[in-house]
Amino acid sequence: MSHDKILTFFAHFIEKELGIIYAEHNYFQLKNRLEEIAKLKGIETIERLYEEAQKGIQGAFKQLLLDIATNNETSFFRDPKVFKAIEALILAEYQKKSPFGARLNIWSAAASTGQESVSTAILIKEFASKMGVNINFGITATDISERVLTRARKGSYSQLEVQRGLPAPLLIKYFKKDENDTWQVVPEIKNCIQFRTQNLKESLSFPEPFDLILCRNVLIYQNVEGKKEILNRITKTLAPGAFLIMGSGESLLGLSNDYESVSSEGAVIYRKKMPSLDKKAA
Amino acid sequence: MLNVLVIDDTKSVHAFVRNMLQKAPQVTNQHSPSVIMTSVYNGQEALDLLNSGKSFDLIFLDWEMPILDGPSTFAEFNKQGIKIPTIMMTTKNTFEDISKMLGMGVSEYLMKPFTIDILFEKINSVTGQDVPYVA
Repeated sequence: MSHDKILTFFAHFIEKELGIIYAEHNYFQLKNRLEEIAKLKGIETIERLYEEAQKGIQGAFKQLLLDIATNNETSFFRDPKVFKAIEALILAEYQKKSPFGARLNIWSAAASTGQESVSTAILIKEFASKMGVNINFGITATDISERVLTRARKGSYSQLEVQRGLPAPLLIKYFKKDENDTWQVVPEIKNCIQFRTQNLKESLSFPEPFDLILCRNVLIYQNVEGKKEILNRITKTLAPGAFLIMGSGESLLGLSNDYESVSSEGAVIYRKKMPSLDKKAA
Repeated sequence: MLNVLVIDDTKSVHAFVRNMLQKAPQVTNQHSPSVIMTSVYNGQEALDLLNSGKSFDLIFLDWEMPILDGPSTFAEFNKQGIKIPTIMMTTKNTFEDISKMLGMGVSEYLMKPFTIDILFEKINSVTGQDVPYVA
């Protein structure tokens, strides 16, 4: 069987399961990733991996394939203007509206190895300390990949990882170096974050509506229908008037009418519209 | 254009940093690089250069050096009122080391080894500039 046919087979499988599309010009990337899976499974070639797949892609094989198909690139405070906007707009508003300490509920929807959720928790702690207040908050951090979440739960980062996006004063305030020369997130931050697996293409169930959802660079891999479907599902988990943050290159244009866009600190943030009076009456 | 002083006793570190800084694109109209790097090999050489009237936008400072080490050099900067933003660049990177130097007033801390994206990120965060680089 030719390489192209094998790659097309796996590309179709990934698209069906995740909605992530591998265009043919990106097949080289898929090939590299399949070779990585083959190596992890102790299989010599992707032809053999394909033969294995014919018996059914299930269990650990399926998880591995879906893990590696997703892009786990991340850093602390990635796209800093987004975090400035969260502080200037969302935290400032929360503080005005909720002086009695209502819980701020946040979802990091593509948590990867946890840097986004850790950065958000640090941002809130720093804001609270600056304002001299307590902020009651919780972050739910989800990813489709159990492999990356296992790392995220440990809250353990290499020397290179902690130097990406994290200013040194925050490093020594919120991390401790262990005997293996890795940096551990302090319990004060770790305890604010709950990690769990979640495929955004499957049904979502959370105990409380969110005040902020970070869903950055997730939908770029979806086709238009996939984007609409996921957005629709995410929107239902967001409280009216609450915020959605997408990647800097992403837009809701033509995908959803449920939001209005707000600019802050050079970042565009989407705010879920309040239900109209007409709808309420109906 | 950014004028950078690197204070480190290891020649290969200068070559490594110079090589990375050359990835910043040339300033097209002036045919000059957007980052200019000057090398000295201990703290005393740095102080002599600064006291001769040379000025820099940013300093990279190693910890362990002969004649005058990093912390003593930075203490001299403080004493002499030299206010150039300084980034430590060292393998001395325990929690206590970093706390000590931040406490003394250094702007950032680069733990060796590091990669080009980290170098430029620290430069940009300390100088408030947006120096790009070609990866």
